[in-house]
Amino acid sequence: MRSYLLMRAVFAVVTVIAATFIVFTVSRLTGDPREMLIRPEGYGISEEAYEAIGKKLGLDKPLVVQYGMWIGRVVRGDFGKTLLTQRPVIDLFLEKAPATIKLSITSWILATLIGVPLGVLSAVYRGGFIDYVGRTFALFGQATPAFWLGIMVILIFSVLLNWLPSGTIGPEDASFIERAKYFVLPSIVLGWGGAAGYLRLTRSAMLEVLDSEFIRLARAKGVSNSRVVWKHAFRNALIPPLTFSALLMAFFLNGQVVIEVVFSWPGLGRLATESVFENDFNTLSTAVLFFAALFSLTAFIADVLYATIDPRIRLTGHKE
Amino acid sequence: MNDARITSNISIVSYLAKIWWVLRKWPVIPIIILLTLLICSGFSEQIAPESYRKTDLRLRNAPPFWMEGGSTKRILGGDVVGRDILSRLIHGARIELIVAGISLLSGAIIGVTLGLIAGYMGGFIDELTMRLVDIWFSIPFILFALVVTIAFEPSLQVVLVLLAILAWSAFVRNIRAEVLALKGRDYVSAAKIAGASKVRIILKHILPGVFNTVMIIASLRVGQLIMAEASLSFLGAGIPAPTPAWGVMVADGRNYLDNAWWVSTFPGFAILLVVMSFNFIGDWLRDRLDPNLRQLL
Repeated sequence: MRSYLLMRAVFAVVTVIAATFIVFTVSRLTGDPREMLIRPEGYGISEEAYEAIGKKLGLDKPLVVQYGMWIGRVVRGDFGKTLLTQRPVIDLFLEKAPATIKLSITSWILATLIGVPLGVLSAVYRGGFIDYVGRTFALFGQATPAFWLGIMVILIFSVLLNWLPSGTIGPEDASFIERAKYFVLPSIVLGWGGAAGYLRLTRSAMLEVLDSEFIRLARAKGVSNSRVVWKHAFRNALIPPLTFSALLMAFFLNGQVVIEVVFSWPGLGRLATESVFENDFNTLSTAVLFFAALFSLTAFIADVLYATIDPRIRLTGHKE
Repeated sequence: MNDARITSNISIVSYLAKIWWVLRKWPVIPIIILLTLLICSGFSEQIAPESYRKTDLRLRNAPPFWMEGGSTKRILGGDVVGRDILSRLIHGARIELIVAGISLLSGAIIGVTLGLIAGYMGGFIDELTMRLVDIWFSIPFILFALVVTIAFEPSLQVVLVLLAILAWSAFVRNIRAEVLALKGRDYVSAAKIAGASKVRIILKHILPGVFNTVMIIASLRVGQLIMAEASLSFLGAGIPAPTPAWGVMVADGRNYLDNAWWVSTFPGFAILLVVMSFNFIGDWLRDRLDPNLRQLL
């Protein structure tokens, strides 16, 4: 067990390094970041100054060395400065992160609270009305493009009905209810797809468990239906949704680029997108590092959860 | 109520029940939707009432024909520069199918090959391939796609490559798992003893065994690819103008929500219908061919 987890941890670190290196390399193909500093309306830049900036940014060295320098600074906690405004990247991140984290958590709770119970009910009443409602809900959730759904809910609830704000996170000093209103639309749009995934996973896991011998035994013993469903079956069907929930959180934290753009949400996704267009490689690399690390961490947590819950993995040290 | 009315009522009910039964057994509606898509993409020039790039400023943001001020000249309305939305949708069908088809096919070829090799060879090669998949999963796709598009200028080719590398990973994992199970079967051992080469065993004895899985993953994956393409187009990193990609059309209407809701609504609805149809057929195929895959996907 310990060696299994240790191995997973080492792989997670290797994964993060490889992922950042790939994006680092590709981002250097986008052209010289120095060109962002030369505005067409300015006085231009002298050859010497151009070289000097290149030296300062380390652009004269080979790519691998540049990457090594970057990761060396990151390990020491120095994420560099943004290209245009020369602000420390880490400050910018700390400023934008709360908005993204808040939205992710809200959507995650929403998805879990809707998806899991609906999945259980859908399996229990298989072929019945609830099952059809649940499956339709899931079918739509997985097929609706998030950016379009975002635009549609803005159209209906902000433009036509004028019930909810159409975007941004709202003023800091407003009351809790007032600020909560800003979360409603984005978290529904973000959460629906997740809820659909939960529903499908929970449903199929439940169907499998409900079909097994020990459930039949429990029923034959005369255990009440709700006890069979929630105590006997649900606990054993929990592994797939549980692993999914860790990955879903990671997905929410970095999959919301599109949502943040649609709702003008002042979070990390939009920061990262802007950094791509501005060729701001310090910010971009940090964003990729953050997302990749987060993803590897959650995958690792999912593995640990798996190993703790499923004794087969704990004993043999391998996933089936 | 007389007897004739009762019998006719019963026959209507049984008729409806029969329709319901057929609809439940076969994915009729999704097939109709996808056939429409196929026909539109094949004969867009003949079907579409207008060219997809013909602008008409008098018809800018013209409403659909059933609304006040609308005309049959722009059945589903006109967009920001007066182009016919219906015609652009019909022309867009071809690009959506081409993008999804090519990227899926190349992703499937790469993914299945890697999955077969990793699963059958095992050991270091297997470990390396799986770590590669892990690394790929941990890169935020949209960001990566944006960086790549900016590095190479937005074009159809870039989108195809990006989507192909999005598609391969799902194949590798599931095919590998399948191969691991097939590898231990008696007929594979028999072939080995008979002296068949590794390549022959993989191609002749294992590949046919994973074919169902490939079909299922492919059909469940198309929808995601169309969605990814639309998201990229929406962010401005997809297929460049004037090609009428549906994602671009949604983005076009974003700033005119309060006076021309139809510009964004119809293209997005088209994406929804197509993706849903593909997903539905994928589910249906999976339930028919291999219900065990439920846990894998």
